[in-house]
Amino acid sequence: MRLLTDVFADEFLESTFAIATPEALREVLRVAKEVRALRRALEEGVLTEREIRDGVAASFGDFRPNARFSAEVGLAALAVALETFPAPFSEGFLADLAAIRAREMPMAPRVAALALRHRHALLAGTTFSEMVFPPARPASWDSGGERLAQPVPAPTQIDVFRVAA
Amino acid sequence: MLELLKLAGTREQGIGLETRRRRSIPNVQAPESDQAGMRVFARLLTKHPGWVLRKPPCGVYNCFGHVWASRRTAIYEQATVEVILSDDGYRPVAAHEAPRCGDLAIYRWAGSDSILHAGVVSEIRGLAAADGGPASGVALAWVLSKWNDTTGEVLHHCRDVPWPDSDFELRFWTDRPEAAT
Repeated sequence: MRLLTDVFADEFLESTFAIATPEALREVLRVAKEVRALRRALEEGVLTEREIRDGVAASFGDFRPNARFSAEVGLAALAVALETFPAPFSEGFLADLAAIRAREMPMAPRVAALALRHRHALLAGTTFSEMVFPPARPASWDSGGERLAQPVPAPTQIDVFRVAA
Repeated sequence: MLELLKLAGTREQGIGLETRRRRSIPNVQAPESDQAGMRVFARLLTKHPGWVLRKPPCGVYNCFGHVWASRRTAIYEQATVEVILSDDGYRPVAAHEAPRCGDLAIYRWAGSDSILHAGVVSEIRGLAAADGGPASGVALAWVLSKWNDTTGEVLHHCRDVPWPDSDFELRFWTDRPEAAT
């Protein structure tokens, strides 16, 4: 999927190349057009869990032990896009990424840890009555299956994650 | 999904490093660049012809490691940088002062406290007059920077940086005592 390819491309790497702290990288990624496009695709059900898994796996082709893994900025972008997406997959991805401590990729795990912290703070500050989830959640988010034939209907009320994003 | 990275990744290792007040500074010695990093740095050099390359690409340290760890290691977390600035006696250069060689250029994401980068003021150059005549009296700081933990070191005009002008705020910091007004 092109949206995923974009965040692993040299042009995207260049736009985030000279950012030294995970805090600044997360803020830059939050407003990056590529990450906003990813977030929209997630909300509309156009981007599936299977496609994310495939895109992440494809990025590993450039991984070499003891060499900087520049494609990690794509993983950081995914982490920021998933930060405010209410699916179990999001939580798992963020937690798994945040747990990595590899010198080849120092930034993406730290960005994921920040995203997780912000996600949990957002949930902690919201009452149940304020949480409104879309009426239909794609089955693909639970099963890693194929894209729905129809896009997910837009929620009729603003859900807390959409507001946060 | 991320199992390959967990299994094949090399454990982060740092060196002993502390602030003046003996607080530990978390750090990681970075590996050398991959091909993607080398390509992007080469593109940046082409886009910034005013940059002077002091040293070709290398790993081990990033900008904060260049500034505060003698190029021995990389420092990543913002909280750590803030502790160093406080413990080591740094202060923002006041409005009535000019930056000097040895001072630091700290770049933040516009409108936020998030730190993008730090470099060392290495030269103060006079700005030539518009007609090419003698210097106009305006002095500009030139900064020695390592843009991330894989690039080379470049000497650059303090505002000739990889981000758009509207995206960053620059403030100079110093460990000098404040000059009288």
